[in-house]
This record gives sequence, structure tokens and C-alpha cells, in this order.
Amino acid sequence: MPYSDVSHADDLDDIRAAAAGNRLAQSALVTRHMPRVYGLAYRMLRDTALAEDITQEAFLRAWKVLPGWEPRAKFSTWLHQVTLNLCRDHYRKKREQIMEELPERVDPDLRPEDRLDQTQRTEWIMTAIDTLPDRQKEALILCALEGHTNISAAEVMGVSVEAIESLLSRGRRKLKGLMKEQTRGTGT
Amino acid sequence: MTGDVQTEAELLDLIEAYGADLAAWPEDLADAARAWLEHPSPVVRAALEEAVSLDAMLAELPQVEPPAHLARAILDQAPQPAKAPEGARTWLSWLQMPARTGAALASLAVGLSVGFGTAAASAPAGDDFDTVMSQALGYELAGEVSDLWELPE
Repeated sequence: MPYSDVSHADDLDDIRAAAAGNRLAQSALVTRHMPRVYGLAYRMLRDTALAEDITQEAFLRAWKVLPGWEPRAKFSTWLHQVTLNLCRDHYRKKREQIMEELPERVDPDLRPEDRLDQTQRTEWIMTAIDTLPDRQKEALILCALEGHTNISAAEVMGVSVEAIESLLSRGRRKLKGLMKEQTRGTGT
Repeated sequence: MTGDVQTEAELLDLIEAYGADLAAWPEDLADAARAWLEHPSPVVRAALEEAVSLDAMLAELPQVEPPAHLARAILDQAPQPAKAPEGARTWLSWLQMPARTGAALASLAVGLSVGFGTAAASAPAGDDFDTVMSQALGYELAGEVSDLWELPE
């Protein structure tokens, strides 16, 4: 199920109760949204401690705004906007180090014994995503990895759906370029 | 882009943006693209093949699981239920006393009031407090209650 299909009505009921201190409703909100918030923060920053801090901070802000929650607003969108903004402060600094760290990638068509193991491939693609410009990286992570639709990703990022498509296209094009470059680099 | 694919160039743009797997596309666009993909041109086929390898790489990325303690830490920061005012809390604490204690206190109160009522009614006129108290409790006191309690004159 795409993340954007999470029920808005369920959230509204739980938001009202959670604001009044109802533990079950608070727990339901955390169970429903926290894994995605943490996932987004982790993929953006690739740092578990920072991802934890940002997830906690995002929910702390949520607890504060719940009593005056505007029912038309979508909780998941708001929460991811906050998370993304918190991440932006951190990952801009970190990205400068990444280009030098990109490990060599081995062509997946090589014989299994010659391939990098899955951990190394995962590391390569995550590092490659880190090299993308900020907006392309955000769009790719939201849509391709965190299950947002183009519409919900556009809401989270505060851009149009057309802009999301453009960011995704450019991001994927760059990743494909890196893959080709790396394959050439390994002589296959 | 709206849910319509008019040209091959539009289709190529969409493959570039969303990859080769229509399940990852917005539903309206996926529906519109299906007809094109039934008989893809060589250009479209090449774009799909290129997209498949990136899709495969992205699909290999594992799900990110939050640490087990994080939910508890977040809930510890959550709003607490509003506290009742001080007076109401006192009354609530009476309501929350253990049932046995409450029952015992209630029995004592009923017993004493019945005892006092009966004793006062049956006591001779002008009887003093010690007599009424002894009769209410149902036994003679060792000493004068008024001595022990230093009743006011």
C-alpha cells in the first residue's frame, strides 16, 4: 500500500484523542507514522543517531501542534515536511564529503563469485543517491524508496507534480550514468 | 503530467521518471501507458531495459527498521491527560480507595449512627455522654470516655 493511502480519517480521530492525552491514540499515531519518518530521515542522512534525533524532534513538534490541529491538513504530509526540513539542515553539510567516498561498483552480470555482496551493492547505491542534488535525492527517496505517490511527494516537498517528475527523471538519469561509468571502470 | 500519454516522447519521459515497473507509476499514468507498452518500439524497449537495471538496484535496498526503543522515547514526550483540580482530586482519591476500606468505614459509620440513635432514645433523661457512648458501642468502657477525650465543658 502506498504510504499516502494511510487513512486521513483514522489520523483525525487519533489526533483529537492524542491531544487530550489518550495513550492508545498516541501509540496508534506513532505505530502508523514513525517507521516512515525514521526511514526518511535515515535514508536522507544515513546516520542512525541523527535519524533517531530527527524522528523524536518531528514527533515532539507534532505533540505540540495537535491541540490546534486543522482537520483539513494531512498529518502524514505535515510530519514528512517537518522531517525533511530537519534533515536538510544536516545533509547539506554531509554531502560535501560524499563524492570522494563513492565505492567501485561491480557489474551485476558478472558471475556470482565475482560480484560484490549485497551489503556492498547496497552501500554503493545509497552512496550514489547521496551524490544527487538535494531536491533530486528527496524526490527519489520519497517516491522510489518511501512509497509516496507523485502527488504526496509534491505536497511534502512543496512543489508541483510536474516538478517531481522532472526531479525524478534527472535523478534517475544521473544514477544510470553513474552505473554505466562504474561498469566501464570495471572493464565489463 | 496528467493521466494521458499522447506521444512516445511523453512515454519516454515517464519511464525516465518512474522506471520500468508500472506498479511504481501513478495509477492514471500507468493505465494510459499500458497500451503503448503492449507493442513497444525499439526506442521504448531500450529505455525500459535501461530502467530495469536501476529499478533492480533500488529494489535491493533493504527496508529501514527503527530501533525498538524509539517508540517508547517518543511516547514519553507525548501530552499527558489533563489533571483534575485539587479539590476534585481529593474527592477522586476517596472514590479510588480500596473497596474493603470503604466498606469498613461505611459499616462503622452506619453502626455508630444506629447505636447513637438507639442509645439516645433508650437512655434515661439526663444521662451523660459516657452512658450514651457505652450503649452505642455495646460494651462498658474501662474509664470515663469524657476523661479520655477531654470533652469541652
